Amino acid sequence: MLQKTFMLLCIISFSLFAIQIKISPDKDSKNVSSEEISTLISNMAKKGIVIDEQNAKKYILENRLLANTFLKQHKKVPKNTLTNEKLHFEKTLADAYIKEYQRKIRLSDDVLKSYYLTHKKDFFTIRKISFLPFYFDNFDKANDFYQKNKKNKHLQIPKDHQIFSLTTDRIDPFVFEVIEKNKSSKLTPPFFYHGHYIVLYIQQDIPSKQIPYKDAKESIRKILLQKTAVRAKKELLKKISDE
Amino acid sequence: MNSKLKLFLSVLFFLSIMMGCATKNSTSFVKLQENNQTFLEKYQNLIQRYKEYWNYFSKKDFRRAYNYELPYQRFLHPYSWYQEFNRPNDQNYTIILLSIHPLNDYTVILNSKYVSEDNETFSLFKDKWILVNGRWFHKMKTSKIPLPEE
Repeated sequence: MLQKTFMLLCIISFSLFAIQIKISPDKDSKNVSSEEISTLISNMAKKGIVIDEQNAKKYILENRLLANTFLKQHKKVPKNTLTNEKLHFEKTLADAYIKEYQRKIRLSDDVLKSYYLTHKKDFFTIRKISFLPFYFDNFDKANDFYQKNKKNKHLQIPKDHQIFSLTTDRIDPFVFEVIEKNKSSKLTPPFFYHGHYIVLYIQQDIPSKQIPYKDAKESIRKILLQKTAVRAKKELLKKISDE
Repeated sequence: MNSKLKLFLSVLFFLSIMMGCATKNSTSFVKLQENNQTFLEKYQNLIQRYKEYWNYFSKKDFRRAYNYELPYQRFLHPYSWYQEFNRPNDQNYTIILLSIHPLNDYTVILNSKYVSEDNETFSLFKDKWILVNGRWFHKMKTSKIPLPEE
């Protein structure tokens, strides 16, 4: 009984001191800061989506307009949304605090180098291929282009053509297989892909290579701190409870 | 008893205690069976570190043995964890270095034999040692069962 009362008191005291989030409509919903744009671009990039500044601003403004109109009409945020955001925000702040705490940790060269020497296979760049697709609406045109140019080592690249420079893990496996089968030549035979006949011009194939120790140091530091984040969290919690 | 005699006896007593400690510390729990002269010369620093490590380990001096473990592993596993992990190890034994197998310029596998104090238990094991900034470090075991590289 006493334990239950104590637990209840703890829960009440936590909820009293928890972070409060209040959301109200923007006074000026047409302003987008450069920080908001760069954050969106970076978040999208993590998902593999490339978006330019103009489109990022448009995306934010559209959502902002819809969100503000919703708030004005309904006067409050749906309860579940706020709870989710609150938990997410608290987790983000907690992680930021742990990172801040770990930033002060100094790792000697012996620590970093010993990790590098025993995990060298993890420190390789990914093979990167630069290629240029030529699109055709039928096979004959594509094949004609291929036959005329397959021996041409210095193909004239039209100015408006976009060159893709991608690491192999980001190339569609089907396209990658076509490139692999035609390693020896600069031009791939025509293949059908997403409604087009395509001939690829392989501009550059940069092989995977060992990342030197000096370039791997920062990644190793991040890996080791990540591996000890739970320990850092425990230390911080103890420190707070001791204060 | 005059003061000079007292001083002499005190010094004698102190020295005898120190000699006792020294004899105890120098007891070797490590023997060498590897006889490849080229390896013995090339890896003399490694062999020295190996002997020191296994001597400390055999004597359950985990505090000193811990310093021979790979630096990044010491960062990941604090001494309190190391001590607890090795605590059940309470047998007395001798370690015999059987052979040296270099994997590359900075990694060497040492094949060794564990012999219990009563000579009744034998087991063979492999140790990995890594050369980091000119010093050899032991790759610590972090699990009782084999796991992928941590």
